[in-house]
Amino acid sequence: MSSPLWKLDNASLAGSGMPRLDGVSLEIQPGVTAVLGCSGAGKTSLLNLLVGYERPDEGNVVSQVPRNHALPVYWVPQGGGLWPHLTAEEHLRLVMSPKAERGGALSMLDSLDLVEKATSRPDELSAGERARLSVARALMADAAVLVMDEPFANVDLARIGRYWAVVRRRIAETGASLVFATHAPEAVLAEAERVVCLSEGRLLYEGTVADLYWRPRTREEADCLGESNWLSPDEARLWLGREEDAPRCFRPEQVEVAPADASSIVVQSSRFKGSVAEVEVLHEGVGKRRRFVHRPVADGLKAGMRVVLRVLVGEDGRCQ
Amino acid sequence: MTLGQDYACALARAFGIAAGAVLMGVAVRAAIASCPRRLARLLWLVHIVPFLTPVLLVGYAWSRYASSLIHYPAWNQALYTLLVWLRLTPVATLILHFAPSAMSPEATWCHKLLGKRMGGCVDGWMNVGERQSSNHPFLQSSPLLFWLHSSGRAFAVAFVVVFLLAFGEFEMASLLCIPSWTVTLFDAQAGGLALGESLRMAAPGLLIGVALLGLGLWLLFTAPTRGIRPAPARSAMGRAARSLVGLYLLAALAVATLLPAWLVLEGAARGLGLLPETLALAKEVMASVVFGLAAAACAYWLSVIGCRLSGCRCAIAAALCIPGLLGALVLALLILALFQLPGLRAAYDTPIPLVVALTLLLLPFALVLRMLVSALRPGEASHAARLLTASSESKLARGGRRVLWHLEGQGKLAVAFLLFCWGYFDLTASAILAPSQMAPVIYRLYNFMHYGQTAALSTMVLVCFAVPFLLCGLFFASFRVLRG
Repeated sequence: MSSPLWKLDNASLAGSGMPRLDGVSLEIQPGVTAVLGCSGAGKTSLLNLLVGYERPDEGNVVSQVPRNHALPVYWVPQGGGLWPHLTAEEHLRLVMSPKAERGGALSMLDSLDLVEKATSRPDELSAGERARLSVARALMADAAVLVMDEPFANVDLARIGRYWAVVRRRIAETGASLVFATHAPEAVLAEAERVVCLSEGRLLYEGTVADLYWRPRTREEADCLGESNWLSPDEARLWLGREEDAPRCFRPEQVEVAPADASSIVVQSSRFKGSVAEVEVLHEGVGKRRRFVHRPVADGLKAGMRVVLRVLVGEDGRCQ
Repeated sequence: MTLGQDYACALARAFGIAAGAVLMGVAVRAAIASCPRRLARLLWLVHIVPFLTPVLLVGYAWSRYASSLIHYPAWNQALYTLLVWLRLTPVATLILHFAPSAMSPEATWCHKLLGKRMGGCVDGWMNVGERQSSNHPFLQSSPLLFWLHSSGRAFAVAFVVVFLLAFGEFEMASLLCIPSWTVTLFDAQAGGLALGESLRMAAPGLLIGVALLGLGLWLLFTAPTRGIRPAPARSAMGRAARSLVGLYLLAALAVATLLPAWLVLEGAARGLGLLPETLALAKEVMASVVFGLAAAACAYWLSVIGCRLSGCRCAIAAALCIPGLLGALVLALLILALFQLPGLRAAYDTPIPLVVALTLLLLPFALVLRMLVSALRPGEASHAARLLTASSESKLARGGRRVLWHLEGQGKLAVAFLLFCWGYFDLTASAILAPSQMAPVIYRLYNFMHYGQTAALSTMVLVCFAVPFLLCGLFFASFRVLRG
C-alpha cells in the first residue's frame, strides 16, 4: 500500500455540548474514500480538518499529500464556497491550470448541465446548480486530492448517477484521489474503495467498502451501509437453517423468502419497498416473530402464506 | 438653565431621537428589503453616509443658521434634534438589520400562524401576567416573550444605543449653541474647573449611561442567539410608503451631508487663494494623523484578539468596550483623572492618554465591525480561495490571492479606514487629553469655528477633511504598485 494522504492521531474538535470529533485516529489512503455517517456524525468536521479549514483542538492531522499536481488539495465545501462576485465560467477559469484547454471550462459546465448558466453569478443559481458548480470548480482544479462534502446535495436523484460518472471520469484522467462525505450508502457502494464511518464524532469503521458490506463486525457497522438482517448463531439456525460461529449480517440480496407449503414459518405482514421488501414472519414451532429484509422478485408475499428462508449469496457476493 | 435642567432636556431629547430613529429604521429597513439587490446596496450607502459624515462638518455648516435662530431657542432645538436624528437613524437601521436574533423569520412566521389558537392579541399578552410558572407552555408561547426573542430585542438594543449616542452628543450641540449637559461640562472643564468637580457634574450622565448599557448588554446576552441575522425576505411594502422612505433618504443625505459639504466647498472655492496658508496647520494635521493611526491600530488589534476570545475572556473584552460606549466626554474626564494618579502622572501631557482614550472609544466600533465582517465573510469561499494560494503555479496562486483580497482584504481595510477616520475626526477627547505640543487639527478648527464661517476657515476645513481620503488613495496607489 502506498503512503497515506493524511494521518490523524487522536484528533478532536470541540462542539457545543459534545465534541464534534472525539479522538479520531486513522489514515486516509490514496484512491476513493467515502466518509459515511448520519447527520451530526462528524463528517464535515473531519473533512474540514483534512483541508485545513479547521484545526484540531487536540491531537494531530499530518498531511502527506503528494506535490505532483498544481494544487495539493481542493475542496467542495458543504455550503459550496462559491465566490459571489464571479460568474460560473469565471469560477472555473480561475482555478484552471494555464496549460489546460481554453474550452475545458465550458465543456465541464456542459457535462454538469450548467453551460446555460455560464454567465450567472452564484446568487442567480438554484441550490442544486450551486452544488454542481462547486463540484465543477473542484474538478477543473488540477489537485492531487479532491475533498467533497456531500457533493451532490440538493441535486435531483435521477441525475446524480450521471454527475458521479463525470467525477469518476475526471479523477481517472487526472489521477487524483477523492475523499467525499455522504450519508447515502448507495454512493459509497457505487463510488468508493474505502470507507470511514463516523458516529457521534467517533470512528466506527475504517477499511474497504467490501469488508464493511459483506463482513461487518457489529450490527452498528452493518447498518452503515443500509438495511440488513443481523442474526445470532441461534437465530441463523432457527430461521435459515445455517450453522454460524458468531452473530453475522445477511444483506437483503443474500436472503430469499420463497413460498413453501410444508414450512412452519408463516408470513404475518409484508411491505414491498421497491428494491427491498420487509417481511414479518412467525415461527409456529417456537412461537417467535422476526422481521427480515430481502430483495423481492415481485410483490408476491401475502399474510398467512407459508414460506422458507434461504441464503442465496455468500459473504463474497457469489451465488451459493 | 441649571445642570439638572440640562440633563432633563437631554434625556427628553435623546428619548425622542431614539424613538424616532427606531421607527424610521424599521421603515427604511423594510423599504430596502423590498428593493432589488443593486438598488438596495445603493440605498444602504445613501442611508449610511449621513452617519459617516464628520459631525464637525455638519455642525460647522449649520452653525450659521443656528446663530440666526438665537432668538428662537425652540426652533434651534428642533434643528439640532433633526440633525442628530438624521445622523443616528442609520445606526438604528443597522442594529435592526444585524442584531443577533434568537429566532429565524420562519420561526416567527410559524408562531404567527398559531395566532388564532393563541387567542386575541390582548389575551395572548395577558398570558405573561396570569401564568406564574416560567415553564408553562402558555407563558413560553406568549407574544411578549416571542417578540423579545425575535424582533423586540433588536428594537430595544437599537433604542438604547441611539439614546446613548444622542444623550452624550457634544460637538454639534456646542457648535449650534444648544444648552446641554455635555456643553456645560465641557465649557466648565475648559474654563479651569477642578477635575473632581467636573467628574461630580458628569456623575448623573455616567450613571444613566451605565444603567442603559447594562440593560442593552442584558438584552443582547441573556437569550440564545442564532448569530448575525441574514438579509430579510422581501417585504410587501406599498409603493407610497416606499416613496416616502425614498424621500426621507434623499432629504437626510441632503441635509446631513450634501448641504454641509456644499457650504464648505463653496466657502473653500472663495478662499482658494488662501490655500498655502493652510500649511500652517500641517503640524496639527500630522498630529491628528498620528493619533488616528495609533488608535485605529490599537483598536483593530484588540478587536482581532477580542473576536477570537470565548467564555470569560469574551466577557472581559465586552467590559473593555463599556468605557467607549459612555461617550467621549465622560471617558476623557475619567482618563484625565486616571493619568493624574501618582503612578501614571509621568505619562500626563504625553500622547499616551489621548491614544488610550481614542482606542477605548474606537474599540466597541472596531469589535462590532470586525464581528460583522467575520459574520458576513463567506468562510468556505475564503478557504476555497486560500487553497489556491498554495499552488505551485503562479497564475493559480495569484488568482487565489485576488479572490481573497476581494472577499476579506477589502472589508478589513474598510474597517481600518473607518476607525482611522473616527480617530482622526475626534474632537472631545482630543480637546481634553491632547498634549500641549501636539494639538490635533480638529480641536484647532473647532476653536476657529466659534468665530463664524469664513472663506479661509472653509478652506482649512476642506483640506483637513480631505487628508484621510488622500492618505487612503495614496495607500491604494502604493499597494497597486507593490502588487504589480
